[in-house]
Amino acid sequence: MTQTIEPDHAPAASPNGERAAGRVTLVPQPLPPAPQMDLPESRSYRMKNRLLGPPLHTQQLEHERLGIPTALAVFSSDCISSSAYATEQILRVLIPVVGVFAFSLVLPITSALLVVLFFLILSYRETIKEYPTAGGAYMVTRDNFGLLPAQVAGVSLLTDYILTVAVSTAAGTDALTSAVPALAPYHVLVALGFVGIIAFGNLRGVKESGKLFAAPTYFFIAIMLVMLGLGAYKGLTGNLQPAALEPGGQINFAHDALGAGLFFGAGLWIVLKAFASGGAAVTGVEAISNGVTAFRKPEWLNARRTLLIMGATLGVLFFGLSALSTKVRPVPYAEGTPTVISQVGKAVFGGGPLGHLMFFGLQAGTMLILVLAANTSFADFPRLASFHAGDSFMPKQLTKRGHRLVFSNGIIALAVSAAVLIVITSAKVDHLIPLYAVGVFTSFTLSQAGMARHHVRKKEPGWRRGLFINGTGAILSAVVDVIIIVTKFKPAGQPLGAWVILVLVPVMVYGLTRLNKQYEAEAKELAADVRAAAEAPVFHRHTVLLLVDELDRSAAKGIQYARSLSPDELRAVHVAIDLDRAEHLMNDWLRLGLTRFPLELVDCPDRRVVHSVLEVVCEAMVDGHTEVTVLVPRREYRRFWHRFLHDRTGEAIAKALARLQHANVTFVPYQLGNDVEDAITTGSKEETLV
Amino acid sequence: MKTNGVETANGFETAGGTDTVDAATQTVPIADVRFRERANVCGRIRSLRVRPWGDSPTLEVVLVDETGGITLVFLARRHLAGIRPGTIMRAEGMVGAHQRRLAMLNPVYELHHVPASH
Repeated sequence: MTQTIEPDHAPAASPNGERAAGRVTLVPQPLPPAPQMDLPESRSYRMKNRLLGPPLHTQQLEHERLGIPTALAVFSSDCISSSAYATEQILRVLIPVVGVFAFSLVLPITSALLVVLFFLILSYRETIKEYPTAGGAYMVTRDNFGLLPAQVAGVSLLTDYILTVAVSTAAGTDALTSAVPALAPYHVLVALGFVGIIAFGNLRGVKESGKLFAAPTYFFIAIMLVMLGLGAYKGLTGNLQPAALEPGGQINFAHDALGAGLFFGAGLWIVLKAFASGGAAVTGVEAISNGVTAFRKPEWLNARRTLLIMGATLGVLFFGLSALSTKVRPVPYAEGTPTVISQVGKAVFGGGPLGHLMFFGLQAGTMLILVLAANTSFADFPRLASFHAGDSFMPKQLTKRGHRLVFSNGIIALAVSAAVLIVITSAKVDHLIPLYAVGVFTSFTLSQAGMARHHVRKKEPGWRRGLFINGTGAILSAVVDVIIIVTKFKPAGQPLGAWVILVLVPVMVYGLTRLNKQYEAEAKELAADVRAAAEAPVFHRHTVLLLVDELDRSAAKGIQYARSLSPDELRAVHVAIDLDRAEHLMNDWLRLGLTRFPLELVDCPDRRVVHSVLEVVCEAMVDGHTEVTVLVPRREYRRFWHRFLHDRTGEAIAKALARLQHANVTFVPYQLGNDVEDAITTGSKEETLV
Repeated sequence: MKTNGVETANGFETAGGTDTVDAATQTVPIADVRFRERANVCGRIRSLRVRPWGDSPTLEVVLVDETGGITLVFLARRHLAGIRPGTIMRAEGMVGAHQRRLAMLNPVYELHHVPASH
């Protein structure tokens, strides 16, 4: 749209020209800064501007980079927030089976998970160093194992990102309803609202969403540290009381087992199961490696630092909460609320106004960070999806940066899928948890194995150390993955389990490979003999057919345009379904005085308009050296629903004609409801301009 | 079944005569029509258009049967009663060419069925 859109821009009417005694002297003037185009922006665009802010320039991409503090908030909320529910998930598995002995098992299991975390952090440090530009499981796997395994890694991660959004908003909603029980009946709606808010924040842009979300992350970390410190002090001084068991609602408490079962196979099983449930804590570690490019320079160094800070924070918070829970002995509730973390908080902060204030602060912080954990997925899912799409394994629309330089389509896709998942599971965390973490650990395994292979192949300095770290990481994640799949395959009493992921991932990978084949086939067809096709001799006859339904302004614009074309043959075509109308049109047409522009009435006894047009076009092309252009006047509507008031015959005709080699379609748009610019006022315009 | 064709020595693109219609209306399939021979055909009007030819308007009609189509040209006419899309008619005249297509100029015609206007 660089041209002026006035239909008449005759040089004589130019505002830069001076008319003197019939002679026009042109005084050259500088060009206007932007082409003169006083068209109002469309309503949807104005709405978008108001909601999302002004559009960002592509050059601003560099400035959208994140420093460490913001990056920590953007990428680590997922990881750090797991500390809010991981302990609870462990207890939830243990308590019904081993009873009070669970509180002795929490710390060992937590420690085991922290070992896994430690190795994952080390492994990802390697990954970030070796793949500083575009890291992440997808790229690493693609580089070392090829495209198909990369799809598995990518799809596993993508499903987990969707789950992260669903789990964390559901858990955040739980935190909210723990504090405000009145909201409990609406928790699905609340969770959906959270998804909407985060999606909106992300559509506004990475940096802004970072700013928006940094405060809650740091608030949560701070208040958790206060709680842990106070708890440790109280615990050491012997002031920490076990949580008061309010009657009813807790999960079953095994009184008789008391660890006796531990030394049988069933005991090991339950420990593994608790370990698997707690495995959710480690998810989110990969976030930084997927988003290295979003960091400020030097990207890889900043990313590695952020990764370390994140891992340390998670370790401290998770271990601290588990340690406190051995003293406070919170029992999870079947309904999910009040949560374990809130019970610990209540016990640590105690009564009194300050205690209550701190307790509510903790709840608010937990809720916010859980909801924000979804934000990490919103930062990563679109980027990962754009990698897939860049390799033609996902719809190309996902590679497009939107209004605010973010992958808007990816953000919307993630929000919609998560919303669907939330509705299906009615926002219950324990229904979602079994699905969770399988995908993450699958991609961990693939990417760490890929890194190991990378070290073996590249043999860069210090590769043996890298091989050891990544090899251990790969084996550990594989083991954890198997444990998770086996123990959570189909939890009793729940419809969903790890099996869903085991079915879903292959199906999706198959779907993506089909998509890829389609893209490849299209690309191959479109690339074949381009030069020969472009340089082929052109037909020396050109016939233009203007489709006319009735003689109105829309047709008039088509007539105007057609007359400017000067083809070898020019005629208007009307498909006569109603003979009276057709003859009326013919009479009106003959009164127009367009002597070189005949109107043809075409019989259409079977009312197949498209077919009749096709016949006319074929007849025009029958000599084998005529290029045909069909002009279709098309009304453009101001409101989207207006188009439903009319049929879309023009589009159908265009589609049918696409199958003919030398037939072409030109739509002549006519904007309805456009009183601003009136085509009739061409005469008077000249005066106003001079 | 080539009948009723009257041989003429000079078959230029002239009007196909204004002689009265033969009582014996033996028609030929349009596919069998020969350039520069008289023909008597029957078919349905597939399309019609009015376009200027020189100074005067010309009504051009494409008549089709199952075997083929031929253009009927009515000079100096914009409109002829009963000639509309879908009309079934018989036309007889000298076959010439018009706009590089096989055509009859000012043929003698007889309307067999005129579609109603709903």
